[in-house]
Amino acid sequence: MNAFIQAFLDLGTAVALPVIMIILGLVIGMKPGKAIGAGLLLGVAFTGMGVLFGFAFPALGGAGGAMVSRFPGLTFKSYDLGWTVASVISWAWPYAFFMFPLQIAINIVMLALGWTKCLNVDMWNVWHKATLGAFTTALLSGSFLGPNGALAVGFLIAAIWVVLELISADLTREQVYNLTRIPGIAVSHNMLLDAFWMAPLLDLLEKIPGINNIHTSPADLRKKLGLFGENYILGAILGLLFGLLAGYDYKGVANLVIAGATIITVFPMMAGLFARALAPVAEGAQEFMQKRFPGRSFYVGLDWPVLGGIDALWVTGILVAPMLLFWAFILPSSWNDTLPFGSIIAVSLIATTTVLTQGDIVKSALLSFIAVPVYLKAATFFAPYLTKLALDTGSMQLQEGYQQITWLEMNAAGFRLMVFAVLDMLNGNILLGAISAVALVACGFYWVSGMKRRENAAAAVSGGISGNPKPY
Amino acid sequence: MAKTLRIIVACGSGVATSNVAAEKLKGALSDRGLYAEVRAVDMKSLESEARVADVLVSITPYATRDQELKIPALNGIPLLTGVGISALIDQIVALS
Repeated sequence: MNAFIQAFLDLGTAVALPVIMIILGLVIGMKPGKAIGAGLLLGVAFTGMGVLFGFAFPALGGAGGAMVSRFPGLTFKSYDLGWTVASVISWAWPYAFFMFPLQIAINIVMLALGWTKCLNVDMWNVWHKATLGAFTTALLSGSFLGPNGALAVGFLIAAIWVVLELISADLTREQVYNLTRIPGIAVSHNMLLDAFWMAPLLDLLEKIPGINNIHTSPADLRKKLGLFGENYILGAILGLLFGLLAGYDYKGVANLVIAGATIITVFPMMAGLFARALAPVAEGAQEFMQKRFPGRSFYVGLDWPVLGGIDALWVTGILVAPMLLFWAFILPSSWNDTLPFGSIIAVSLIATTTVLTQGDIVKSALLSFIAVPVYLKAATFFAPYLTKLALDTGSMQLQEGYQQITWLEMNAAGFRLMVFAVLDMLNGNILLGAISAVALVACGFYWVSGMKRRENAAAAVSGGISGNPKPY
Repeated sequence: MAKTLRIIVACGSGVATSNVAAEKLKGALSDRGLYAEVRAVDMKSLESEARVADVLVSITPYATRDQELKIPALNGIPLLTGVGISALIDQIVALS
């Protein structure tokens, strides 16, 4: 039996993933033809991603390396390829699919106990729990826990994340409703967990005299900025900028412009194939959960794109893009070694600041400006973990001279950093972990009370998602 | 035979939510005997995508952009919540 499993794993992830998908598809009752189709598509997406790595790394890494040798003091060794890449790699973690039952079981128990009103049907973002599990396991494998103990803690952290996501969805429901006016939903994405420390920070910012009286028109700004939102244009601009900074000749610059536009456009397409292949699993899980709670009053937890209609979100995104570059170039390499690229529109950051500031662009941009270094730190800190996962699972081959991959808009970056500092205490690094633990507890209490206050304020404007203008 | 209806499903990134919703829409339409071309798109590219589509199903409803397009825009939230899908399908069938 063991020999059989070993032979199966030796086939490589590009084959093993489709096989797992086909078996899973048959288990949840898909027709054999459809299950095989979904499995094949998963293999295509995974392999396509690997092919793209071979193109993206020399292009981006080459420019990054040239910049570093031209400007002493710059040390880029981690390349931000965006969340789409991280998501595909995370599915290759051998235990990733176990995150589905974990998330569903916890949600059902919490609904039954009345601890949440959110039925999270967003099965796509299960991949975040996979990254947490994989990263925790990698962080603690060398500790006294051993590999199996580390894996158990990895699942525990993923479980805690599931619980907090649901509470976060509850605590942002009114704010989301006030911005979107979509009834019956909440955003259960873990990005909003960074409200943990951003909410108190925003309270401080709001004390700045006059800041509450600046009025802007996001819709007009959105229209004027229009075209810049398109991915390939942003990729081309970054290619131009990096090509010039790298000191390339005109031919090199022109090629990097096209390469930049290509990378930023095609990676999400590969991840899109992944989403299509996984759609039946997500649908099956959703139906399973909704059948368990018929007629109960709950809010359906969804992924962040329901926020995409908010003009202030995209305006903030365009304002934050140069901030990412600014901070990335001036922070010392001990703090940041990440070259921003794929996450140049940093959705997880700007969606969180947009919800918290209720679409106030000025406050949202200010909050983002302070938060960007935290996101850079997280991208830098987690780069070795993502790179290791990619290498271990055969998602990519690392070429000589090109170093690490990461993603900059790591969801709940600050919160994640604090949690990992606490976990690092198990490796004997006590001081930072102890400080983080105290900060987490303090922020946690503030988070609940501060968010309730913000929920009441939002409900007072909108009339309340359930028709109650004072929910707390 | 009538021309195949071209439907685009838009979300904030064109990656996850829109693809999951598009797959669900495809299934629901074929259950009703309607074959349509359904594509997931990034809402940031809506202007160019809408030129080669007949209907927009948006996961980001009420976006100011939806109203500027020259094709009908429908609310795609039912595809995510599961509530009101048949009404959405009725609207699409009426357009085909």
